[in-house]
Amino acid sequence: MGKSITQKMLEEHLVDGKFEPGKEIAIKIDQTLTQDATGTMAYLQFEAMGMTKVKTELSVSYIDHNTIQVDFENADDHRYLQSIASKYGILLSRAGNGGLTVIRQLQADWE
Amino acid sequence: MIAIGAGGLDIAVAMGGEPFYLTCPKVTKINLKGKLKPWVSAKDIVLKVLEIFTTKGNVGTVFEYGGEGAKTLSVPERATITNMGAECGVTTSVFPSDEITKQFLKAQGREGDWVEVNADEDAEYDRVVDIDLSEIVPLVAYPHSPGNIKTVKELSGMTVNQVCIGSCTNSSYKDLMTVAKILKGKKAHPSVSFVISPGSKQVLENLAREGALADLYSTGARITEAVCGFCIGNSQSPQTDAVSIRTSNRNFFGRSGKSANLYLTSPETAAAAVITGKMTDPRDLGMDYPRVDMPKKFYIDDSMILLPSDTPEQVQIYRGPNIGEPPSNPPMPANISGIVTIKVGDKITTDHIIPAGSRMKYRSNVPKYSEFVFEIVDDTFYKRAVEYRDKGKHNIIVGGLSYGQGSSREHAALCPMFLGVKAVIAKSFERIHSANLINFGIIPLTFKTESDYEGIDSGDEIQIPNIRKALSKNEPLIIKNLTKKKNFEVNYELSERQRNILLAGGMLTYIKNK
Repeated sequence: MGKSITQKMLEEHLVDGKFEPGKEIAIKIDQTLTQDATGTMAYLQFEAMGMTKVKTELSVSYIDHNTIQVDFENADDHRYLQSIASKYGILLSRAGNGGLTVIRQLQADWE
Repeated sequence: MIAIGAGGLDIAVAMGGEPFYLTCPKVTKINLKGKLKPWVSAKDIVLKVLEIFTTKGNVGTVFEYGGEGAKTLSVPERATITNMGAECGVTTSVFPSDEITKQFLKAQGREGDWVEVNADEDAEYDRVVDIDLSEIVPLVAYPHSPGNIKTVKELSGMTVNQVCIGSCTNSSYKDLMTVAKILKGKKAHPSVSFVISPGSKQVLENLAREGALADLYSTGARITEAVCGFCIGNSQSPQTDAVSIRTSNRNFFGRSGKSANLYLTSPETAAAAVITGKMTDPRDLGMDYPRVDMPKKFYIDDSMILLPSDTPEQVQIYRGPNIGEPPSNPPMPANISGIVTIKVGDKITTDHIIPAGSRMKYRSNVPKYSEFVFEIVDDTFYKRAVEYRDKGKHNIIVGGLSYGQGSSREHAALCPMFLGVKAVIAKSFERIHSANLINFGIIPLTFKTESDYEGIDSGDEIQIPNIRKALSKNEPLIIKNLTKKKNFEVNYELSERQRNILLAGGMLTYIKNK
């Protein structure tokens, strides 16, 4: 029986389980994308796990959500994200670059 | 490549080299036939998909597009369609990687990254649905769900107060060039506040270099930074009781101010309303449809992407006063004993659970952000939850169908965790939210008999005896409603790993203990 695109992609990345709909599987993640509204907490958690460097092929941190800077909070978060990216091996897409959205069409959906 | 939305903690774990766990999906093939008629575009296709599949019942499924019709769609058109698969609740959506993908990557200077990916001729699917593109007409999702679909004609003539084009959906070069061509030489109707959020600096720069940006400014567009902006209600909330036409992907209640009525349409339909001030089928504009071809070469400048340091040990992490510690959670108690702090209905979105908009700046400050949990549903929730928590009682949430749909935002689990919520009992859950609840030590339970939902109310005193023991052994769970003097059974379908995460009190402790 032939395979769907989905099956081919997931099977290439399987580290646990097999392609059986409804069952839990584990897959290797090549790339991660985050944005600042949920990503800031994700990096705080990454730090809390005691990690020293990202182990993915590519991780990108986009700043394209919390860009209204009426007080200090969002700008502080941007600085935090920039320093985290620099330290842990992550690419940082600065505020103003846009993002998750259409840049190079890395497709994602997430707030 | 397939891209799957996930909560922040799952992404943190993946960045640490751990695998990502998910339910192996069923695959539905959406077989596209024919070709779109003028003035009908990719947004109308995905609104058709939402009409067919609705926002419920698609958890654990992948939408795989194919057929001759797929070959008529450019990469940004495909991205518009796959972006909004999330609104159906699917795990992800994919298109084949073909000659069109190759041309797009070439125009981005990345031809070398192209790989052909196709389904096998004899691939089998759980379900196959045909859509004839030539039969699709301009569609609109009306308030307050992306699954409420009508034709634009049905709503034609309705006065419009605001038009917002862009955000992550329909903000590509092709979308905005089409809008610029429709609006060239025209002015925004006086009743319409016209907003554009371009998808990226690259899109904006390409529009500027071709003169289209000047046409948009001339029409009266308020052009924002390249951000998601208006879509999450983070700026550009419209006037009281406004009718706002948007090309973004979500129109949930309370998402852009408390009283706005958000309608989701194609950029073509949105542009028509800019001119007329009314909901207008763009085919009635009496214009020739301006076809925009994809450029052979984009203007590219990646200087806004910063590379990591070569000397990471010397980099100091910047922490302002708004950066808090991620809160920790104790292990799952032996018994859950508490109160139904809130009972909500069907299709509760993460926007209901924790608002974005003006509250979003507290995302990295959990104690503060938690004050706004369920704010738009019941603004006394926070006070009650804290009171019960501080008395040593557990908080329990009761929900209806598709609890936690919409944005992936993990604060919809993290903040309830901070407030001492231990269990959510619902008729069904959305995929990412269910995973987020587990990651934060809150057990998602479903009613074994759906009608038991009717027999439980806010304020009821509840016990879930021996929950640790049951989770360790994967045994059935009984809910004791002490107020109603009634017991009922709940289901949980969790892997051993997920049960261990819950026992540990959440993913952070689980990973640390490993």
